[in-house]
Amino acid sequence: MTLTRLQEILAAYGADPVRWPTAERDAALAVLRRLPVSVASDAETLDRLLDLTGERTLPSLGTDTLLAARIRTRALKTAQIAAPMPRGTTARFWPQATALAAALLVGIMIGISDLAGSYFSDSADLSSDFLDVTYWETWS
Amino acid sequence: MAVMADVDFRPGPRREPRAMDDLPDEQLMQSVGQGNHQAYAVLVTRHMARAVHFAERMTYRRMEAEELVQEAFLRVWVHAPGWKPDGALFRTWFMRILTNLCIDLKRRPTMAPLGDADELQDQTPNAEMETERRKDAAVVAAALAELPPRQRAALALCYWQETSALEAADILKVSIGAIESLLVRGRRTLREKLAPKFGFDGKGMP
Repeated sequence: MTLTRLQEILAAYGADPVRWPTAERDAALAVLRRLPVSVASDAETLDRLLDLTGERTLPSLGTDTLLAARIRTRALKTAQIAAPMPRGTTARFWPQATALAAALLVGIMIGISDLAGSYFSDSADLSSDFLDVTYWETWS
Repeated sequence: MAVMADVDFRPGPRREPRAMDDLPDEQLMQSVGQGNHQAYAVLVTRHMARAVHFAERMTYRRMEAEELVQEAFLRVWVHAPGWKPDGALFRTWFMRILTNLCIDLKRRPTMAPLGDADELQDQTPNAEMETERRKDAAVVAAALAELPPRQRAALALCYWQETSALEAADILKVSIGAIESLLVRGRRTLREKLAPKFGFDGKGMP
């Protein structure tokens, strides 16, 4: 830790070591202890002035409750934007989709086979009559 | 009686469901993403005071600050289904939304709202001292209000919110060096503006 770096820290973060970067705090304090107190005096003065403005902005409890209620009400009235399907979800999605498609296919096939069965049973009778007629017309 | 004897009234090994208040932000966000209003309420309660404090530091107007905080929380709600932590904390993500809203506002206040010191005259035992303090605070607040928004944001985050430089850099999407630069420039400008009234001895500054 150099004096220049300590001065940069004071200039950026102020005189309170709590706000200094954790990794440099101990080294900076060690350097500061070896220097005259006046090194940090401007930073301390500015901190004191900044602290003057620190109280008014703290929100009161009552206002907080009202604001929280307003925020929640707005959310209740607003729809969420649907997210693109996460990767993990697609892995769960495909087996379910395949099972559904298979069930659908089986259903369709059963339906078709019923229709076909009834059609072919009717048409089988008709075709035998037709064949009989055609046969006799051709060879008789 | 035999039935009663079999009943064990001691707390069993069954785990109680974890109260929502105890859940970390990131877990709450997953519930919010599924439309859970209770989880959203917990997040709002947890982060609102800090958010208002920050927004007020940025705008110097309570009403505007509240509007911005509402908008930021609404964006949390709307975008929650697509939110992925990706290693970042919810707090950082949320503060980035709020900071950008504050910076985008662009309108600068014409005066800081801390100024009306006369209102408090004769209301406390040390009324004169209190009035002086209020006047000084108004001068400082006015100087702060004139800082460029990004310098003000860096100062609000690192000074009043006590956010680490690392997190502040993440929120503002700049390097740590850039955060320090914003802080140094902000504080230097303040010092120059306030020097005529408060006096600085010019020591300790690079």
